[in-house]
Amino acid sequence: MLQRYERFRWRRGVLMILLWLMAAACQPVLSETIRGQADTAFPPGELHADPEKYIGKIILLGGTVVRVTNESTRSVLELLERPLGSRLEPEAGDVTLGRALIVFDKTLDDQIFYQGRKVTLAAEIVGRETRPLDETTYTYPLLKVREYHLWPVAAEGYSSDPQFHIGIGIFHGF
Amino acid sequence: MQSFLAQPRSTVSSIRTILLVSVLMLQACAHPISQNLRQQADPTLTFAELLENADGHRGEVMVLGGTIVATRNLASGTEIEVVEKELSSYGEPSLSDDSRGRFIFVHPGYLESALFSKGRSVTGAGKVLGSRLGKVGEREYRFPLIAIEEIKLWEEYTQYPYYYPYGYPYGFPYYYPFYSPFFHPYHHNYR
Repeated sequence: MLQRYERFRWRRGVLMILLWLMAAACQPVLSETIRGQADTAFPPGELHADPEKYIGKIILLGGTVVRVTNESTRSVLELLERPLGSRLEPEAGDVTLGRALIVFDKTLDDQIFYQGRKVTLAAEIVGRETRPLDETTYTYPLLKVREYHLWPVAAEGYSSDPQFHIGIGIFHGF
Repeated sequence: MQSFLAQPRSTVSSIRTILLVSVLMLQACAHPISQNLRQQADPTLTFAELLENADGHRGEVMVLGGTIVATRNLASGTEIEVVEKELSSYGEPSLSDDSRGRFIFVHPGYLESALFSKGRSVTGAGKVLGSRLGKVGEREYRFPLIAIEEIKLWEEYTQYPYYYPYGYPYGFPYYYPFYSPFFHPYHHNYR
């Protein structure tokens, strides 16, 4: 009787681990704390219309990297903002809300933040900044990063949707 | 009686299916440029003729497309330099290397150069503005200018990776369930 009970507990443990793994695969990419502080109902287009109206507000946004620049006192990520899909992942395709500048304290490596890579951020609206763009100028909303998530590089031709495989690895000598 | 009824009903349903399928096919092949604008275009005006004498065709409507060389954001708007490609019946530029030259799409507003980026296919239509002397490399080139009224950015053509059997293209990060960098089942261990 006791043996059967023990076996049942073992199975339940495996089930718990499996559930935990599945839940981990679907977890949001930004911390609960920052998601609590952010205004998740902030309409995405508003940022580009009048950022100065919302100074101090923390929002969630994402898109693809246009470029990163390391200046003497700050580093700036130029973001092509895109609508966010499930798990706050920026959507692929040709829909954009506009460009935005995100200020980082740390140095940004352009080999990590390379052009086209997807990034999701929680950032505080600081104001706006006009910069030269090609042969004209562009007025960007300016934000300060609070938290960010870089999306993994999807193998070419593969969807970036979560892949869930269960495998058994065998370690073999060298 | 029943078989008599069954006959026309199945005909109706198959006609319906054919109609539905053809509507879907038509939608898939819909030309991105409005019919109105396409009808204004003179089908006898060729790109070769435009290259030769763009200024002589000022104001005429043309439907053109090709591969983007560069998108320039200017104070006055946006210019897209395009390598001209032949258009299919539904307006998509061919992906071949056949081209008769370059032209420039002119747009008064802002177009996102990160989307209208080098190598992507674009189809546009509008009036011929004339030409402008520019450069391709170090040689002078007379670019025909088109003031676009409609433009379509075609979906990116994704080149699929080489398709080997046996679990490639499962590269890093090793999605393939049995893959381990230390596991070489078909190699002998010579140690």
